[in-house]
Order: sequence, then structure tokens, then C-alpha cells
Amino acid sequence: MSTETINISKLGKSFDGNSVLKGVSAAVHAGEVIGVLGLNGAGKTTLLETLLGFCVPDSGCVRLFGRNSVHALDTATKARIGFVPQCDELVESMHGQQYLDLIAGFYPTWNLALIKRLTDEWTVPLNLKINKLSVGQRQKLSILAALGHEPELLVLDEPVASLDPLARRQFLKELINISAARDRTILFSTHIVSDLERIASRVWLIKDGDIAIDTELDSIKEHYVRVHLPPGVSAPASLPGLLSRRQEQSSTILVFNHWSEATCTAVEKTCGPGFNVEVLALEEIFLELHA
Amino acid sequence: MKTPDLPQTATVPSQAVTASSSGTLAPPRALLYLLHFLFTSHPIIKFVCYTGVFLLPVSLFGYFWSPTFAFGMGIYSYLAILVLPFLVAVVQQRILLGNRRLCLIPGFPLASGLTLLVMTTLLAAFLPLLGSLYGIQHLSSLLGIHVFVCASLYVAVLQFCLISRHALALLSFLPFLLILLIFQLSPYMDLVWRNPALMLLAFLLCLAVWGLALRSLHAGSSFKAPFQQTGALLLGYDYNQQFAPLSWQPRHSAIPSTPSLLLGFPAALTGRMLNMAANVLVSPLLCGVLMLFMWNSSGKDTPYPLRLFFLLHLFIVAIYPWAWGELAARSRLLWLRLDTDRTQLWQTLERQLWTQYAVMFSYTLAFLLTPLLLEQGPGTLGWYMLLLALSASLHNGYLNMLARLEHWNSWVQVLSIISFLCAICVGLGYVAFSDNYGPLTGISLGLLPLALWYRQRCKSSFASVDWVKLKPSAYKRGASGAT
Repeated sequence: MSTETINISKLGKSFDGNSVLKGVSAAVHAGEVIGVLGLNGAGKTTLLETLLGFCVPDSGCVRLFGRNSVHALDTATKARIGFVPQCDELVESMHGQQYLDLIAGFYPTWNLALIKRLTDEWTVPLNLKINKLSVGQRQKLSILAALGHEPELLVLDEPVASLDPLARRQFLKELINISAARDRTILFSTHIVSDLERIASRVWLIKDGDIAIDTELDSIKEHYVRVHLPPGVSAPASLPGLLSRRQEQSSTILVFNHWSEATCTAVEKTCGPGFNVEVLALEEIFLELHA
Repeated sequence: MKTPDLPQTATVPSQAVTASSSGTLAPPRALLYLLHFLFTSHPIIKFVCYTGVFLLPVSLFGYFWSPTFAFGMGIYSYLAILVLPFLVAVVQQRILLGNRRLCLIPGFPLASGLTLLVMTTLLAAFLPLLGSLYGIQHLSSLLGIHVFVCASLYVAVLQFCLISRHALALLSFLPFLLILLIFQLSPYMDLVWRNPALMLLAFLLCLAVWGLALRSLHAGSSFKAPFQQTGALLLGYDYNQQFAPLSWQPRHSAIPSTPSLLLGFPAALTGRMLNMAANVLVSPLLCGVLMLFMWNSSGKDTPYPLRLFFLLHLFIVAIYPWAWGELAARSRLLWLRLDTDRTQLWQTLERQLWTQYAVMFSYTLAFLLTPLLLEQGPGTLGWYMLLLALSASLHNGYLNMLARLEHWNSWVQVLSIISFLCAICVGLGYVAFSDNYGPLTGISLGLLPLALWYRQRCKSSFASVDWVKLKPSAYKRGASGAT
């Protein structure tokens, strides 16, 4: 995990005066699997597409494999990238097989056996025209087209949104294979938090145009907790690591984003014993952050 | 790194297939796929292209029967197989280059450019070949060079100047026409192009223009931005919003750009008039100038330009309604928006169809009523062609709609198209060889009851139309969310 695959520095982008990215900075190392979470319109897709050079940022810099990707991607860098866009962007008038053959023609490392196996497992009808395929089948084909050349960096923008549960599970299994086999980097956005929990090693939570949380998945789960105070007990206005507080019926609920032994002692000292600490799942953490 | 909790499976060993060695040189297989795509990317282009292929043997074997007729078929095949797909290919190439997924493929822009270069070379080589087949000295390699230079300039102009759908229709034809006219009018051009050294220089210059165009398109500030910047710079249009199809638009302009729910025609009458003018006037103008150009090059008498233009206009008018089958498919968009049952919806659609029909023929009638044209006269054949165009366009419109509504097999559609074309060829053949207008009139009048019969079937089929099966071409894929 030493090589830096992506380096984002103070990236800013706005559309029609609306600032979507506000000085985002982050680094991704080879072998990492990053899950990108965020509300609709938070800027996930803009971030993923800007770092691939699809639009020129207003400020900041992105380096892919050590090369600046803001203005142009060289051929060697392109060959190391696989991209699954949110809209699949397939060529409608081609057959599935024709499309894959067309793309395979450009890559000397195209793994025909892998594609054949995945086509069989995922039951993608390659003999049909792309405009005859269902949305889910198109999504599968779109993923196949991105996996065939075994890219070192795989960028997936909501790749499983249209897949059925079985296909989703098969796809996640394949992603695990890919990330485990070699030092491949995967960056993917999704709204299905359970998928992210299965495969991601790190989480980026995009909020207000910036990466609000950039941490290891296990770490985030350890530090975010919900504390239920006994009925009638109130908490002081400030506590270390307190993210939010709310009243539910007669009891107070505190949400901490930096929970530690010291915080626990502080809560016990100010609120007394008898409180419950609830460890949060990632989805709950996401909801608390946007409450 | 987190240990995955799903079962691991053995990875498949890499099996590299043959492909480009470095990603910088386009592999021949990819070129073939791209060529195939450019020839068949649009149903109408595909259809016209197939008719050209169908008539190509006629032009070859017809030489022994009637050289004039066979040469005419050869010219039609040239227009159908190469010219029309080439004109559209430039646009299609822009769409491909705007596809973000394809842009990420190393070597794709070069392959795309080379494909267009191959098409241009085929375009330039066809006429000299046809000329040598028929022993026409003037249709020599000189003409091939002319075509190559014109086509290269056309590509270069179009690659930099594409702005919007409407401007596209005009822009795509005008530079080409202009260049052809310059070549026709200038007496010095022939002198220049007859010099082998200058010809070679022109050829190399064209290749350099190709290279520079590709390079500037893809080595700019970003490979996406130049498209947007070009449009914004010239007229303030956003290239992607105005031009790219829905499925390929970037997410920030994923709203359908179709201005009306019906066939993409503008709702306002002026918009429809402009749209139709671009289709039924500019295309015949291009064909007319091209044919005049070839006639002059072959040393034959120049035909009456206006009469030629009028006949070509009627030909376009006759085949144009092939696209109207899409109307029935797009009516699904109106179903939840209009408070009507299917019968009333059918009436609404038919009103739209007839409005288009009226707009289209208003140009034809304007021609007939123009004093200038009356002086020269469209000729007897012109009047009969008008009758044929009136009935054929109705027939084609309803036939295509019926084919879509009843989900005809593509072979049935092809057979019906071929039989229609055969009937027209027989009618025109009789006129050409025996000056007998009877069969042509008979065919024209025969198409009318056939059109009415198709209409009745369309109406009854529409009463139970299944919009799950019948989807509009542009909307077959559910658009993903935009964020």
C-alpha cells in the first residue's frame, strides 16, 4: 500500500455558480477499496468524473499514477483505468458481443477467459442488440467492458443500482477477487451501504462539497456511537466528541463521532451512570450525519 | 485492509487476446467494427445503405442492358452507400468521441479518425472506378482527388463547427456545397489539380489537416471540454445539451433535449417549417449540385438544374415519412399527459402527422407556384413525380407505422420496402424507355388505396397498442438518475 494511485489536492468545481466541490483533498494508495457515500447531489459523481479528467476543475489538482490528469490523460494512464459511468454510455446500435470485441481490440491485456466466465455467470445475452437489453443487463455489460482489461484503477459510479440481488452479490464477489488478487485500487460510489460494508476498506463520506469523513471502515464504526440517557437526565451543552443531540419522548439521545474511554468517563461524570451506548452500523452513521 | 466476508474464488488466469501492440495504433478489427457502426448507426441510413447495396448489382449487370440506366443506378448506389453514410458519419464520430467511456480507451480517437479516413478514401475511389467501368474518361482519378479534398475539408470544418441540431443540418451541407461550387466555377482549379506534384501536395495537406484536427480535438485542455467550448464560443450553445442523444449526454444535461414529445419536431409552426426545410430542401440541393458536378465532369449536357432539383426534392419527400413510425412509439409519452382514450390519442397523432405532411408539401407547392419555375416548368415527368411523391409519402408513412405497431419482422419490412422500390423502378423505367406514363400513374394511384388500408389497420392496432413492446428509439433505455 505504498504507491499512491490517486492524489487529489484542493479540488474545486462549481456548476452555474453552485459550488459542488469545495477544496477536496485526499489520497488513495494501491490496493485500497474506497466506498464513496453521500446524499443525492452531494458531489460523488462530480468528484469521480473530475478526477478522471472528464471536466476541468475550477481549482486544485488531481494526479493519477503520479501524472496530472486535470487537462489530459496519456495513453499509458488510460490503459490502467476501468470506468463504469452512472449512465452506461453503451453504443446502442451494436450487439453486446460486437461492443465487447470493439473494446477488446484496443487492449493487449484483454482477459477473454474472465469475460467469458462472467458472461456465463451473469447471464448477459451478448447476441442481442444493446438497445434490446434490460437496464440491469446493460449495467452488467457496462461492468464487463470495464473489467476486461484488468485495470489497476477501477472507478465505478453506482455500479449496482440496477442489478438484482443475485447479480449484485456476484458482482461484489468479483470485486473482492479483483482487489484481493493484485494491488488493484477500486473507487466506487453507492447508496447501498450494506454493499459498501462488505467490500470497502475505506469510506469517503461526501458532505457539503467536501470529504467529511475519510477513514478506515472499522475505525468509523468504533468512533461513532449513540448514547441513550435515562429518562429525565439531561446532558451538558458541550461534551468532547459530541456530534448532535436530540430529545425522544422523555429521554435524551447523544451522538458522538469521536467516542473513546475518555468520552465515556466524561459522560458518566456529567450525566451519571445508567446510560446505554449503541454501536452504529454504517447506514445509521450516515443517517445521523445527515439528520 | 478489511478482510472480505464473501467467499473467495480462484481468479481466472489472464489470457491476452490479440490486440494492438501499444494502444497507439488502431487494430484493423476495431476499424472494421467502427466502419460497420458508422454505416448502420441510424435506421434510416441503414435502410438507404441497404437499398444502395441492393441496386449495386443492377448498376454492374445493367451495363449490358442499358448503360444510361445502369449508370444512374450506380450514382444512386454511390449516394446511398457512401455519400449519405459519410455525411452522417462525421456527426456519429463526434458522438463517439463525446462518449466518456470510449474516450478512456487508449487509441480510440485515432481509430475513429482512421475509420473516417477510410470512408473518405472509399468515397473518393468510387467515382473513378465507376468511370473506368463505363469508359468515361472525365471521371478519372482527378475527380477522386477532388472528392477527397472536399470531403477532408468538410470533415475538418464540421469537426470544429458543430453547434446544435438545427445548425448542424445546415452547416453539414453548406461547406460541402461551397467547396464543390468553387471547384466547378474556378477555371484555375483544373490546372492546379492536373499537376501531379500539386495533387500529391494537396493529398498530403489533407492528411495533415486530419492529423491536426484529431490532435487538437484530443490534446486540448481536456478531451471533453473542447466540444462544449466550441459551441459556447460560437453561439453560446452547449454542445452536449443541443446535440448529443439522451443516452450519451453527460449527467448534468440528462434532461431530454427533445423540444416536443412528437418526433422531436418543434411545437411551433415556424420551427417545423425550418426543420422541414433543412430536410427536404438542403438534401436535394446537395444531391443536385453533386449530380451537376458529375455531369459536367463527364462532359455531358447539363440537365435543367431546377428540374433536377425539383425531382430530387420529390424523391426526398417520398422517402421522408419512413421515420413516422416512431410517432406511434412516442405516443406513450402522451398517454399519461393527455386526458384522452386511445382513439382520441390516435386522432391527435394523426393530426400531427398530417400537419407534417402539409408542411412538407407546402414547399413543393411553393415551387410549382413560383413564376420562375413556371417559366422553366418542372416538365411532364415532374408532375407525374409529384403525384407519385404525394401517394408514396402517405403509403410509406402508414406502412412504417403499421410495421412498428404490429411488430413486423425486419425481413417482412425489408421485403415490403424492396417490393415498393421495384414498383417505382418499373414505373420510372417505363417512362425512361418508352415515354409511357401509364404504369407510373397506375402505381401512384395504386399506392393511395394501399395507404388507406394501412391507415385502417394502424387505427385498429393502435386501439390495443402495447407500449411495453413499442418503445421510442431514443428512449429504449431507462435514463439513470442524474447525480
